[in-house]
Amino acid sequence: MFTIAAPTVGGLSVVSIVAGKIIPEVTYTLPFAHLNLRRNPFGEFSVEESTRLADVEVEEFDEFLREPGSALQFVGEKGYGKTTHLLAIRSRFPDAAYVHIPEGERAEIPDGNPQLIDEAQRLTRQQKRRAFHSNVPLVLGTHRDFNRELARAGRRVRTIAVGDRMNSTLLSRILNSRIEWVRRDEGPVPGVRHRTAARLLERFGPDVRRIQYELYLVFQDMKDGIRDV
Amino acid sequence: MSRCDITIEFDRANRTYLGGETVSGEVHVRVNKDTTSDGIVLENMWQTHGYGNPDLAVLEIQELAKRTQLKAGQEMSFPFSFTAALGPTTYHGHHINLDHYVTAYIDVPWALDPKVTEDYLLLPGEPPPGMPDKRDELIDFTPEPAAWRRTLLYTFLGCIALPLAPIILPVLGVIWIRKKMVARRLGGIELTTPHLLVAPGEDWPLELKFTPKKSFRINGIQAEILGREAATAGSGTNETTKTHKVHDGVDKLEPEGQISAGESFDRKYTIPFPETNAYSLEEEDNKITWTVKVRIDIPWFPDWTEKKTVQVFPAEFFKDAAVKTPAAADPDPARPEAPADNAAGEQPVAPAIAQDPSAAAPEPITPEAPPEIAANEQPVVPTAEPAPAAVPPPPSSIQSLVEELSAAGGMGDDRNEIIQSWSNRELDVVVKIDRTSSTFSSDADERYRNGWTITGTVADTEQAIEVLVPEGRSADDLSRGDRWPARIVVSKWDSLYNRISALEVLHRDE
Repeated sequence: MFTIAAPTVGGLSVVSIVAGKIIPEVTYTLPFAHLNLRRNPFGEFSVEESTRLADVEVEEFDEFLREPGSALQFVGEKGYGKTTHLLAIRSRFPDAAYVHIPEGERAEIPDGNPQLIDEAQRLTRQQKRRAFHSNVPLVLGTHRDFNRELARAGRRVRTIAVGDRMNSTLLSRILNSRIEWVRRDEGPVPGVRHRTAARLLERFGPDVRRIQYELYLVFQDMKDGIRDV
Repeated sequence: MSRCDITIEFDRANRTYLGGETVSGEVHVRVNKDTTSDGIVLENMWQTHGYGNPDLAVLEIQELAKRTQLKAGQEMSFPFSFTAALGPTTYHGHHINLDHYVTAYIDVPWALDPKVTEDYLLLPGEPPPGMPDKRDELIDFTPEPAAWRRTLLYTFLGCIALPLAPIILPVLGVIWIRKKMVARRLGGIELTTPHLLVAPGEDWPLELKFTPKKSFRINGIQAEILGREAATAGSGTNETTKTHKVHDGVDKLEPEGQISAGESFDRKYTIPFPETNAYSLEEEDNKITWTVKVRIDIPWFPDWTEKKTVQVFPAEFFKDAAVKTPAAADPDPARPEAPADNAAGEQPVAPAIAQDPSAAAPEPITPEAPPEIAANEQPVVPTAEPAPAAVPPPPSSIQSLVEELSAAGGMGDDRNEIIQSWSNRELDVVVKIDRTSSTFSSDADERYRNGWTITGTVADTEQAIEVLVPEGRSADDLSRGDRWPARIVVSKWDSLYNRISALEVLHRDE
C-alpha cells in the first residue's frame, strides 16, 4: 500500500492505493476554512490572546487604584470574567504585578503597583495579612467576599459582582470579537446575533465560559457554510 | 493603517507537506510608515487549538533580515525554507485540533510587532528517529519524574487515602472478591498483545490463554477498541476536562458457548484496527489515547476484563513492520462482511497438545513443488526432481473427509478423532475464499509464523476450513469468492466454528 495526497477543492484527500483500488481515507483541509476562520473561535485561547481580547470596562477604576490603601475586589463564580477584569487592569498599569494562585499550590505574591491577585481565596493566612495590611493598591479576583477583612485592615474597598456587569450587548460584542480574531481572510464570517446572546445569557447566566462551550459545539458542527447563529 | 503589511506565500498552493519534506515560500513585506526594525523573524511551530488549553512547540526560528531602518513605500520579499517536522501531524478532531504554523514578524522596539501567521498541513512522512523497531513497548512521551517527586506523590496520596480508608477498603475488598471468584472459575488468564504500537487499518493480534477450573457458559468474548480525545481547559478550580470518543467499536472474538473444565483454551485473534488519523497524542492539556479492553462475558457472574493501552502511529512510521504484517497495510476486502461468528478474524491455532504444527504435519515427501498461492491458479508441478526411493501415497480427496465429518453428527470428539485419523496424509483441496489475513501465532512453526491464514469453505460444500500458509508466499491476488487450490494436511477440528484447521504442505526444499 502507498499513500498519495490528491488535491481537492479547499484541501486534499489522502487516498490509499491497494491492489490497484483507490480507497479514500481522510480529507484534509485547512481548519475552519469553510467558515473563513482559522479555528473554532470558542475554543480556549492563550493568556496573551485573552488579554488582547478582554472586553471589559475598567477605566473607571484607574483613579481609585492610584490611591494608596485602595482595594478593589471582583467577586463571582468561575467563568464570570474575574480573570478578564484583572488582566484588563494589568494592561493599564505598567508597574502592575499579576499572580494566579493555582489550586492546591502556593504562589509567591510579586511586588507591583497595583498588586493583582487572582483566586485570592487561596492566599495563606500569612500572605493575606501581609497583602491586606500593606498600603499598595490591591486588586483581587475571588470567589469569597473579603470586604470585612479588607476594611478591618484599613483598606478602602470597592466590591464588584462581575456577573452583574454582563448584558446581552456586551456578551454579543465579546463573542463576535472572538470570531473576528480568528478570521482567515476578507469576506463574510459567521456571527452571533444579539438575540442569541440574550437567549444564552438567559439560559446560562453570566457564565461566559459555559456560553463559549455551547457555541464551540455549534461552530464545530457548522458544516453547512457561513451563517449567523 | 498598520506600520507594515506582511504576507506569507507557500511554494505549494495546497500548503501540504509530508514530514521531512522541505517547506519553502516567501515572506512579502510592504512598509506603510517609517519604522525601525530590530530584525524580521520567521517562526515554525505547531499548536493545538480547540476546547483545551493550547499546547505548542516552537520548532525553528530564522532571522530573515537584520536590524534595519524601513522606509514607507518600501516592498521586500524574503525567501524561507525549512524541513517539515516529522510529527505531530495535522489533526482536526472534535475537542482537539493540531496545526502547524509559520509566523513572520517585524521586531519593532517599544511597540507592537507587525505579525502574520499562516497555517499549513503536515501529513505523515518519514518516521521520527525515536520510532523503535519493536512494537511491544509503549513509547514514553513524558520524562520520568525524579525519585524524590515520586516518593512525595505517593506520600501525599497515602495521606489523602488514610482518612478515606473506611470507604476505600470495602471497595477494594469487593474488587478482590470478584477477582478471586473469576480466578476460581477461569484459572489464571494470560492475555498477550504483541503489538502495543499500532498503525491504523492493520490487523491487531492478540492471544488469550487459560485453562478453566470449572465448566461454564459464556455469552461471548469480545474486544472493545476505544479511541478518546481528552482536552483540559482552565486551571485549578476552573479546570475542566472534556472527552470525546473518536472510535468505539466492539469486535466479537467468540460467540456464546460452553467452556469445559480442564480443557485448555488457547486462541489467537486479529482485530481489524480502525482507519483513523487520530494518532496518539500526549501533551499537557491535550491527549489522544487508545485502549483495547478484552471481556469474557459470563452470565450471572462477574465478567473478566483486561484493558491494554496502545499507541497509534501513522502506517508510514512502520515501514519494516508493514512488510511483516501485510494485512496491516492491505485492508482485507472481506473484512466488513466477515461472518458474525468470526467477526474478529479468529486465527487457527496449532492443537493445544501438539503445539508445533510441523509435528502435526508429517514431513511431505512428495517431490512436487508447492503450489503458488494465486487465485484460480493450479499448483505448479515440478518436473525436474527425481522420484524418491519410497514413493508416497497419492494425495487423497478431501471429499471423503468432508463426508465422514458430516456423518459424525454434532459430536466434537468424534470429529476430532476423524481429523486425527486423516492427519497423516496429504489432501488436495480447493478453498472458496472468505477472507485472507496475516497469521499471528507465536506457537506455530517458524515457517507459518507471519504467513497467511486463508479462511473459507471447501469448494462445492458447506464445510468451513482454515489453512495456514507459510511466510513468504504471495497472497496479494486472492480475494473473497476466489477458488484457491492447495495441498494440505489437516491438523485439528475447530469445534467452536465447526471447521477444519489445516496447514499447507511444505516441501523439503522450502
